Amino acid sequence: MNDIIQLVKEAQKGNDTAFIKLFQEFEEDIYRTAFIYVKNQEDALDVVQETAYRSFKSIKNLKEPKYLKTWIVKIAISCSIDLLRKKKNVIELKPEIEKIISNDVEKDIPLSITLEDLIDLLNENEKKIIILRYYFDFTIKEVAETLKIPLGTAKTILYRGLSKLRKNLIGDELYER
Amino acid sequence: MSDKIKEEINRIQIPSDIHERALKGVKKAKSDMSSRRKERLFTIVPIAISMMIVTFGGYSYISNRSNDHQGSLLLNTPVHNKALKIPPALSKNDNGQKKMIGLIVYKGKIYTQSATKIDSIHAKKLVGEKLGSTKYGIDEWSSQDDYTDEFASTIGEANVYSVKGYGQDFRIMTYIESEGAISAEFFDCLNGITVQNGEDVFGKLHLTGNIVNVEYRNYNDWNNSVENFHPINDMKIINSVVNSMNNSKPYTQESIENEIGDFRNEAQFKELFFHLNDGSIVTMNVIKDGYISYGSSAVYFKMEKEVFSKLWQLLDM
Repeated sequence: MNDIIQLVKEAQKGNDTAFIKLFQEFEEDIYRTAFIYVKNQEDALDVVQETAYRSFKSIKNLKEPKYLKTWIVKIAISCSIDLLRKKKNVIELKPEIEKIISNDVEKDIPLSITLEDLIDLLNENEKKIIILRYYFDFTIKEVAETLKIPLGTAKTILYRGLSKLRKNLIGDELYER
Repeated sequence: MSDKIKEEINRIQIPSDIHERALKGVKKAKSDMSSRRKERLFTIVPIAISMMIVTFGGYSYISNRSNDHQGSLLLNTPVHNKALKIPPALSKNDNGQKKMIGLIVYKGKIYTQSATKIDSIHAKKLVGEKLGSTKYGIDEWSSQDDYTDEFASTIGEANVYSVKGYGQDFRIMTYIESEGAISAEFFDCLNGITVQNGEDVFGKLHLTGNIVNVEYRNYNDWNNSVENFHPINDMKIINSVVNSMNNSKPYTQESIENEIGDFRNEAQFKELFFHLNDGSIVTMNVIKDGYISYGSSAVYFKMEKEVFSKLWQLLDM
């Protein structure tokens, strides 16, 4: 961790070698995150490049080095959505209406979810929350804090995303029968 | 559940050139960062009636002397039907790609990176009321609508404050204190003002009575980023220069270029730095033919001949 803090400090002074060392740790995660949004290699690589560009330019504004990964992942998601917006593939989603969701939202999920389901069934907000929650292992509270949305809203979106995945599985199972 | 989703996401194959692309992004950022200072000074607005590349939006003459470049200029606010007009800050470079400069949207106006610098010690004393926090939102792909989003910016995330001693309509600042290190930057807005004389712009900088010392830099040193500054000790002349600046008349950059050609050379261009009591350092561009401008603005002010020639003698030693 001390090494990371030192590298962040160096990067904040404009040292690109230090920044590249840091970024290298995350580039595969960034690529995979981007791919789930943009759905093709070329655009996902563009997102990696843009994320590197934006994050190096603004790393001087990063207050807490320990949040580096969270910060870069957020930039990557933002770049992915921007790219989709540029290509006009995104419908802007209004803030969710907060609902009280019980804490057992995540129970009882079948294990047959596929990558294609994640890519095709979820909308941008659902992807954001599911990636942070399950790929980056954030708690739902951390997800809400990272995205600056109320906890209830985060749970609502997560629940809706998981429901979509679940419904699709039920449909597939019926079809197979 | 978590493992299953991870497993599925990890099925995404990593292309061999991923690292190369990351390097490309970092390289581009580095090159932008090192050239930003130069761009701030010399971005040329390609249309005749553009001025104050970033600091100002568009403008129009309100003088009756329409064939005369001298007169007052109305710096129009770029607000159109709730949407901010994309500022000329997003001017195109030679490759036709948009280039971004630091900007923040606040109260419907665009504040851009200031030509006035502040060091960390003095910045702390100037931090005023917290106004909010910037967020991402504006980049090369942004549409006009993105400029209506409060605190949208090109600078990432930072806390924004008012600046003690300066009007919030004109100047705000970012201020970050982390583990003892302070990073602060001013952002200026001159949209929507009418410029009749230099005071309409220079007056906002609080030069009069606040100058501690003045330095200048030659064109070649500026061009090569050499920090070779020369002091100016004759404060009597400097004070008369400031008076003359306040009374000077505005001209567009284009009209000056039409008149004197490209002035970016060792013989005709100097950079002038005013160090103020509050610790801020204001950058001006001075052109041999009698003009002075604030930072990256594309509006130039013609000073009185006599005063200017005394100034130029100090700069040309």
